[in-house]
Amino acid sequence: MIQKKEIEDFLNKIPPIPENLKKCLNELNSGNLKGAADVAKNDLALSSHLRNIINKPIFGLRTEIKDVNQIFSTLGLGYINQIIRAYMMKLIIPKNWEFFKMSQSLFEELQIELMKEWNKLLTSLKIEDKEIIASIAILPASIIVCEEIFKSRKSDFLIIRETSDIDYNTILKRMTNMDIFDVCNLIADKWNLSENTKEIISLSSGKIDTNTQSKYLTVAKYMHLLLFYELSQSKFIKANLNDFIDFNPEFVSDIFENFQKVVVS
Amino acid sequence: MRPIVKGSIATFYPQGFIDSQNAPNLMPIPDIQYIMTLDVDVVLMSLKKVIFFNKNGFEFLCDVLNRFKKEKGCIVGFCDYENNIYHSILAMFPKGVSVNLFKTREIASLFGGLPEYSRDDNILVYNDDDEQKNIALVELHNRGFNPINALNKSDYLEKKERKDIYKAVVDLTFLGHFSQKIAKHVKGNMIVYSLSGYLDGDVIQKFDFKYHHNCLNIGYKVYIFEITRVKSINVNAINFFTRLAISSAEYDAVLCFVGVNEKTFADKFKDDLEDAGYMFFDTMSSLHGNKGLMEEAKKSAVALNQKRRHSITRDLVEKLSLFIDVVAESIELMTESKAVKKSAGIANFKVEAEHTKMLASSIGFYGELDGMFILVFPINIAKKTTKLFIGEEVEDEHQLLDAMAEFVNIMGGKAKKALLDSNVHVSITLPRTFTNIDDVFAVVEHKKGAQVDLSFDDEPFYFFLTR
Repeated sequence: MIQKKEIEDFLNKIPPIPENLKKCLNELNSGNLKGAADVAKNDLALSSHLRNIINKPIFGLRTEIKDVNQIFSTLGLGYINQIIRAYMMKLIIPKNWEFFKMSQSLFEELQIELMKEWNKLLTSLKIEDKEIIASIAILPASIIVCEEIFKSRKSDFLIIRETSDIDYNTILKRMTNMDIFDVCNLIADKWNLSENTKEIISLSSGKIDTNTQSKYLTVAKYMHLLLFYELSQSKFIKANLNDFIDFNPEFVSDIFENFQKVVVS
Repeated sequence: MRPIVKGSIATFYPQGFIDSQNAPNLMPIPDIQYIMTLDVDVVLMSLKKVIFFNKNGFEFLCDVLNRFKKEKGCIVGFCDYENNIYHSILAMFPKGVSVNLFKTREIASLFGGLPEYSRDDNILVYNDDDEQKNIALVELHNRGFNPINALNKSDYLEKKERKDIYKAVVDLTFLGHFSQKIAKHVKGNMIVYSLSGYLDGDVIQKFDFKYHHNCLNIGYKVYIFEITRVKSINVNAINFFTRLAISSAEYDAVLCFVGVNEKTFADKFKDDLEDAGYMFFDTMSSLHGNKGLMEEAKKSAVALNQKRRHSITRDLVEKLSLFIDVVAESIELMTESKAVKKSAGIANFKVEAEHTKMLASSIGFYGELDGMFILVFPINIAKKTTKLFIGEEVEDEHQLLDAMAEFVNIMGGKAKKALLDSNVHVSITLPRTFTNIDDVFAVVEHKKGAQVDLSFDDEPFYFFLTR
């Protein structure tokens, strides 16, 4: 039904990270916010994207910010790291969505809302690890992977979903021995993202062995719950995102109370 | 959000959080309209993957579910929850929940639709609330099951462990405003309708005419109205029963009341019903003692057998290529192999390959076109086609058969959609699986059908379409 070759074809179409973006990420990795801003200034598309993002109502700024240095200093290292990685999704985002009722702007909204709530959670948990902060930006790649892989046989998969309680992640795993999160990690490989980021993304699928031990297990639980908190919003339910992968309430049961305090209330 | 439809039960599986903001989008108008077009008896909302819901969101979903109850006469409710959630819901609505709460989808199937248990199975029933327990016992009895009352909590805890005796346990289940349709079941080639309470003109809304006519068409001769728990019957209900007797007369059907006492009917009403052709019995055992009636019931069996011998029709043969396309394409997709047609013809069912290496499955459809198709798979093909549902290829036969049933259900769904595209409306039954090919022959004995022999990767595969 789906063959590994289709995944390989999709991965082959993913372009490498443009040089400017790579330089910007290197500067951010070494903690040089000014150096990163200087690189961004010379990339018209990136600087325009940053201006567009920071002036969105969700950031609640009273006056419009246009200067790239000011954007970097306002957002800070953690947020900028996330936003630059989220910008990388533009390299793979579909022009026309066929499988989900999505659009580029709705996808960006999801990215920003995830980042905002993630930062709130990490602050409450007193987590300052750069990789944990940035990892949330890669999570929505799972939606793009699902869109690209399943769109060619949409009607077949819809019939399967209407007759059997089996999510797209499981379908892909059983057909190709790779799930959506494995494919996200192959994208991360292609973009030289760290092993730690990949580990967090894999764990956040919620489909893990009960004996799994990892220092990222708790943050992965928060990430899993946050994803479904966001996908429970009306606009994402309308886009058919609520059930594209399985939510595992048991996986997050021990952190739910704290999550509620920080995010829901 | 589209529901998952299995047999005559449609289940929604929302995930994450439910509140008043997002609840309307879990069941938007197009999905409500879609449910209205489905031939389902039960609509459920699963809470299996929900971590949080509030009262407003829950109430909204209750309202939508109640629309299905009102407009389609469906049994509606929530399912798949833990003990604490069940009690939270009851606490949230101290005056009573407006829909049913079923611990699982399988438990819901006991109260509506095609049950996932045999009528002979013992069903253990327990509830802290005696009134609820009694409602469940009566409903299960009305549907022809054998409910066993757990007398108290310790009795329940002890008995529920005896899985060899009690095939299902009805607990953590709340039946709120339950009886919409009059319960019915088949017993000893007779159709039994179980009625209760006060019968008035509303009986017309509660009676399943489609089911009754289907039974008449199939050839059932004896229809029993079990009225032991009926408090009184008014003139409007009497008129309904009289008209029903007239419309059933052309099928030579015999209609009876069982459990009649002096309080249920005024003598005049009883005379009217006797004139319409009804027979009256005090108890079921006195009915069984009536030789003439039992002979009529036997006629049902003969008529049913004759119907079962009906062979394929021209309408069905015209759709043969549609069914073959659905089946071949589905297996090609799952096995990544190519279908090769070996032979085709109208004949009695025949399997040339060694029977012990084969498994079979069947699924029926009814509506504007009636029939069934049978698929006979080599075990290897069955394993490949079911990999999607069980992951690794498995050796366990039960798992394999369950997964095959899932796969055949999908093919049934695809065939239904393809028929709908050519303006033929059908509903599909639950799939059936067979480990012994001889059992398939027993089903299609004396029936002619369209058989197409295919092969996938040089392995034989048999398709048989019949009525």
